Amino acid sequence: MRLEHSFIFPLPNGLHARPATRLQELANPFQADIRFLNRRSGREADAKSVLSLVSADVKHGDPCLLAFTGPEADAARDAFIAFLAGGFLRCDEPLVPAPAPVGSAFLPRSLRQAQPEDWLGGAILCPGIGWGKALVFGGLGPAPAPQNQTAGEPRKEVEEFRRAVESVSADLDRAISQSANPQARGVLQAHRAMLRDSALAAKVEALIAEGSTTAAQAIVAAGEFFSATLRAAESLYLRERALDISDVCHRLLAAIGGQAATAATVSLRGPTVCVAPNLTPGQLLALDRRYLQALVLGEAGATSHTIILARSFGIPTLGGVPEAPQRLSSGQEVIVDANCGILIPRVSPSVARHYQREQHAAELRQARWQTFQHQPAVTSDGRRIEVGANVASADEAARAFQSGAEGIGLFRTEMLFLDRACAPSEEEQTAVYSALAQAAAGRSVIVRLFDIGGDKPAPYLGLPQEKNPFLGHRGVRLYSDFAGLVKTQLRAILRAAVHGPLKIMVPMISRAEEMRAVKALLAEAREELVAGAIRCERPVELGAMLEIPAVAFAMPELCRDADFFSIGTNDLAQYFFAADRDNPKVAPMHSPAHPAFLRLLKQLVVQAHAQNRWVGLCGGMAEIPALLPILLGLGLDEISLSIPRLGPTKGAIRQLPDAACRVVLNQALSSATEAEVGRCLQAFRAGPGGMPLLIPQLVMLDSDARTKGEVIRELVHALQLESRTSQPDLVEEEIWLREESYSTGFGRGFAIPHCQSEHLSANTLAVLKTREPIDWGSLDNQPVRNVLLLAIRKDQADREHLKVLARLSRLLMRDEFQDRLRTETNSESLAVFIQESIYE
Amino acid sequence: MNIVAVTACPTGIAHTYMAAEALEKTAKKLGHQIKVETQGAMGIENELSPADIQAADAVLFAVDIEVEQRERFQGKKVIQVPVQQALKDPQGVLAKLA
Repeated sequence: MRLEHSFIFPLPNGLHARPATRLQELANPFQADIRFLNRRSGREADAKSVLSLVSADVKHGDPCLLAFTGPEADAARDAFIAFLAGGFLRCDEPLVPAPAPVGSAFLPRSLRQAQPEDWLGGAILCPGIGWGKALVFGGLGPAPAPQNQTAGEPRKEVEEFRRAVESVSADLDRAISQSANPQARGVLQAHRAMLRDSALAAKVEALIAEGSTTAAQAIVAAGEFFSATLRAAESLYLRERALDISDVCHRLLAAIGGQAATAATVSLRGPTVCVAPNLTPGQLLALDRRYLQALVLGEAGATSHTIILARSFGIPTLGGVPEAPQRLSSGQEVIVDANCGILIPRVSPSVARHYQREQHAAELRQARWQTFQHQPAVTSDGRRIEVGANVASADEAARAFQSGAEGIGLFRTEMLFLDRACAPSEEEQTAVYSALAQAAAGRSVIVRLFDIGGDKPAPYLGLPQEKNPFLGHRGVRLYSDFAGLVKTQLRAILRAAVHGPLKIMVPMISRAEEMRAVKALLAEAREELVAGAIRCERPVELGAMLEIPAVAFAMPELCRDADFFSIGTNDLAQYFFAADRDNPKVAPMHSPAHPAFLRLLKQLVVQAHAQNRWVGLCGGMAEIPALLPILLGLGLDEISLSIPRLGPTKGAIRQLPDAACRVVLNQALSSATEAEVGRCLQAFRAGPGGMPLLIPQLVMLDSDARTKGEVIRELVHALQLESRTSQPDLVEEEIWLREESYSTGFGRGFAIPHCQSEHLSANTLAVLKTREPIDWGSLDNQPVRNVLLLAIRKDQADREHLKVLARLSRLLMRDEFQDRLRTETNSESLAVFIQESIYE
Repeated sequence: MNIVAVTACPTGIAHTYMAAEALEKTAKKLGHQIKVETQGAMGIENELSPADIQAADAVLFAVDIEVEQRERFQGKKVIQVPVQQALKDPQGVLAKLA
């Protein structure tokens, strides 16, 4: 009996190693023979072989056919149909944005002034600046097997091949277990799957059988065969997978030659910039990252595993510079500026000075960032609010804590349950949650019970497809049907809690009875452990996700069985406004800043606090900087965000006064429209929630800048450090545009550069005095040593600040004022003096 | 001499007011009467009335851009200089009005 299933291939990057691995994992447990046919290319593949699937050259939109024959054919077909409609759609790496077109680099003004003699443009594959001695690699390709090898008996050659496979497999296993980086692990796992792929073994053994080739020669030939197939693929993504095959073959050849793993033939001594036509992921992993400052690659592709690894390690990388290996020689000092997208092959003194100053500014930002990273989040008037992270693995949790998270506001457990043939065992889950508790070292962690519906890939649950999955049988609604699964998860969490406090949260709660039922399951789970003499002594709090609007009118009852709450604003707003976030036609109606939604949030917080319950917020609303004053004003106990937002959010909280946030929240609650809420927030930023015009940190009295360009660059770096701008290059350009009308040096050693910019977060006054006299092109042709920068927001009609600056301008024409500025050596005193003078 | 003046620089944040200050200071030192209207980012301040303009012996524009409501000065002789010049050499600029 042969069953079939036709479909159009949905993934934008085609069928490459990782989705192919998923299909192979799904296919393997079934006894049936499963064939995958690409109707466009005519190629057929064995669904249990990753290489075979990848060689079918399937790209987005291709009509495909799956054929199932033999025992379990129908079960296999059902599983594939469910998977292809659900989880498969989610298993692709997000599309990397197209790299910047080569050669169109925007060089900031100060860099242009440093006049680099010569530079090569490239695509920015990973931003950052790297400085070091170039190390130029030769080309790639499988190392040619020694020509004068004589083949032994085919049987012996096959044995040698299989031994090499075992050896490399063991190396990869070891590397995977030691790797702390999820990206690196993913790449190594894909390589391991490729290594064990039946199509690779079949090809190598066929070549050996065909006649007189050694194992090494057969590996080289097989590698070439599969690489050629991939290189000929229409999709760029598939073409870049040829590097993965090369990597696996390199390892196999090294194993046969008796060398350890990927022979790290390259050892780095001192800061190094590696330059190569391309690099395999293995070669990159072998480079000593303590010394690797940057990478320059001939190819421009942004999606190879090598680039994915470079990005996860934060190694500045330029691609699409094919002439680099010829233009540079090893040992030459080069700078890779992967913020602008250029490589500077000859570092002149002026270029060196520019980049030294850039690196110093970057270090100051890094240091500043670190000072409050590990301090609790407190508003400017002393109100504490917890800032947590939303994560999905113990590794990610560890990174979150390193980045300043005070707790885990949401630990998603779905990845343990999805994309697999059966539910995770209690042991497996206990290990994961234990690792999580240990990484947390006593900090609060909220674990959300599995949140699955018919649209998610968990075929072993046998959930039917629903017409309306959003409003369907999902989350807590499933738990009565799957009590066993729920209790397994609960037992695992209870066991893991001996390592540290864990809290449990229930998704999709719409009524108190649901909480009661879960609470009962939790009690049963604990009893089962106690009966089995398994340790679980720590009490574990049980809470609810607030994401269905009905809960707003049932809080007192919910509080009986819930110890805490977390508001999931994404789904809450969807259900509240009856609008799908992903539907472009109605997405604008999903509006967290709408007064009605704010009233809903206020209601939830007030009711929770009335019963003394902790309430946090873990939705996307926490990541909108403009709404932060609202979240503070609501009186939430915690907000939980993605890792990259932790730093900026903690920094922003420190600048906001809680009392004023409550005022603006009340204004928002009595607004009639979202636009009105926006106006309240704008007034807030211009006034009580704004940043002061002048702060002592922006009075810099001992600058070693030597030129007008360096002064202006130092000023915009200072603005960036104090969060007054995130676009220093653009503000720099705007200041220079004003200088081009006529010099702002108005005489007697003073200059007053200024600009009106869209790129400023607040009106700012900065003062800079230099040790050395600066040529400013002043009206009186005298050098400048006292600089006052006036940086004004374009959109803000803030008369207060403009009046104050007009007054400052007049004061600057007076001798006594100038004398005081010239002679004052203390930043605080000078800031106070200026403040008092202009605000008189 | 009874002088009225208007200052207006490109961004209207600083030089408009610096020039006004420089002209006021210098005119007073030279024994003149002066009223300076500033046209800046905040709009028109210290606005010159028709009476002010009528009574003036001389009109000075120290401006880099168009003067707003220029019709007020119809019929009067106007000396115009760039803002920079008023800053660099206010005395010389005032001398032109004599």
